[in-house]
Amino acid sequence: MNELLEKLSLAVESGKINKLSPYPPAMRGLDGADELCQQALEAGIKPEVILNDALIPGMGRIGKKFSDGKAFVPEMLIAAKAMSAALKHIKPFFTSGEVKRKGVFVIGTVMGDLHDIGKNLVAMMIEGSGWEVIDLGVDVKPEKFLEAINQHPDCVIGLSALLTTTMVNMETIVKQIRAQYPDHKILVGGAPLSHDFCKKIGATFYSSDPQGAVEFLERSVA
Amino acid sequence: MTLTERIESRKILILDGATGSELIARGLIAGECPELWNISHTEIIKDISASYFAAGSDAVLTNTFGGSLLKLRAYNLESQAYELNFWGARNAISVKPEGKFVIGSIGPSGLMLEPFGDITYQEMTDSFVVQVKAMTDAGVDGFMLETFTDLEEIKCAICAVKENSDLPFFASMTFSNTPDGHKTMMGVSVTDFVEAMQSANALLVGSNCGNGILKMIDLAKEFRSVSATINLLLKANAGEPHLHDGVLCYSESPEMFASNLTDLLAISPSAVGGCCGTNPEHIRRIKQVIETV
Ligand code: B1M
Repeated sequence: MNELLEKLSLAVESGKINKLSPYPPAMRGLDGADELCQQALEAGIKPEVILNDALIPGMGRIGKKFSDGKAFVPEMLIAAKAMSAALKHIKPFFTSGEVKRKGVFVIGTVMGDLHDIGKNLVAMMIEGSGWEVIDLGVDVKPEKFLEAINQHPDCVIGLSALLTTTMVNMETIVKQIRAQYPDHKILVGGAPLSHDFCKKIGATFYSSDPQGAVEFLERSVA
Repeated sequence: MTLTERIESRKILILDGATGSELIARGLIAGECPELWNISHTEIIKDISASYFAAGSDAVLTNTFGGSLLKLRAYNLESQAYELNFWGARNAISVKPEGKFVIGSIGPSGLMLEPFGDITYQEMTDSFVVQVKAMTDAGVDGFMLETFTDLEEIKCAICAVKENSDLPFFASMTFSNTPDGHKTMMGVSVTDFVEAMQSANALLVGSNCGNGILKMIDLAKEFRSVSATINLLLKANAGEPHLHDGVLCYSESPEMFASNLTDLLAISPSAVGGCCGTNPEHIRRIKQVIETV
């Protein structure tokens, strides 16, 4: 692989945001995701390639360490910060119309639930793959989602929940959306969910990871 | 007898069970601020404390887990922080039998300190100060800093306690097992936690939430292997929550809890109780077992 992309991928995985950031101590003074992504673009590497060959695999490796209990929330958060520092350079390519926006994706963590690390990653990956993302934040009530559909009738809705106690609220939200928009596309995700649960509450699709979410969206516009 | 004298007497202190799941069972709905019930549903709050005292708890926690400024901000209730914490303490104290204790609960902010998040140490500490002041004024016997996962954040809470009160405190973090021993979600090991809390002079050190009774026993063994002498506090969940026909259930019954308690007692804890999903019946069974051994 291209050396620049390899460095960028490692910067994301290690949470090296930019040259000035003191974390991780072992990479003090080196270029971070911010500079390396800029350099990759200047070297003529396509935004999609940067995303798919450097950013997503970097985030994927730290995610794997996290699920294996070898990395913890701080490492995950700082890697997400590094990823977003890189994405900042990629986004203008989509907004400038050089690459066409694929559609609107509205995402939120359901009411009662404050977990947003996973939701933010999903939002980032989807934005990075060319969608306009509207992030409603955490603890989002059903009305907020209905309002968003009202404003963006063609949007895809994404619901995230991390607590067994708030999965019930996800069901409430899906029911309220279905009452007004029986066929609206609703994507659900989050650690305690399953395909069965998705089916039971009448959502359109369940993905256990951001990649699956991106693929679902790609299919939905195809 | 003060709380400190009671712990030094070496008789196991029986704590309470869950507050959160008891509130949900009595009608608290998603999105509502549990601490608001300290002034809007005082009878229910008193009733929960009274039911734990009646079941055999020597000490109950106040309904102030989310009473820090940063937590209340999410509900736009920051300006009522003092009142909500004060009455949280008063409700429990008003039903406290002679010789029993009320402990002020302080939970984590739910936000991250710099550099991982954007909260400064000062903001974090200030967020706990109002809880400490209000509950000290209300007359609690001590504090329990519970379900923390970040060592720096619990240090902010300890700083708030020490600078605003002379009361003792318990320190409890939530752990899960990893290939490398038990760690909190922020990566804090049992050793790091115990060492820091010994130098901070916590009256009790231990863990609550996150684990059912069996996993809590494994975790307790690790605490013991780190220190043979610490005064250990343990409050296990009634297992993990799951949905059964759309209703939230916890799998570990009071009987199941009780039948494993002897293994837990073998680790010589100073204080035991229950966390999410446990109710007064769990406490009654815990008391029975403690009295028979
Ligand atoms: C729309 O389409 C999609 C598609 C895919 C989607 C998707 C949407 N959303 C997610 N995905 C998927 O893609 C993402 C990227 O790969 C993935 O997202 P995840 O979110 O799964 O993965 C993230 C990248 C990393 N994972 C995480 O960020 C979650 C990590 C753990 C450690 C966790 C964290 C960080 C926190 N917590 Co909480 N927390 C735990 C978690 C235990 C663990 N080790 O997993 C869990 C989820 N927490 C739990 C609990 C109980 C709680 N937490 C609470 C609080 C917190 C913090 C605030 C401290 C913090 C959240 C900080 C934040 N800003 O998000 C409390 C609840 C607060 C609330 N009302 O929400 C509290 C109730 C604790 C307490 N007693 O106060 C447990 C839930 C148990 C259950 N099943 O109900 C828990 C499993 C820990 C445990 N072992 O007990 C996929 O699921």
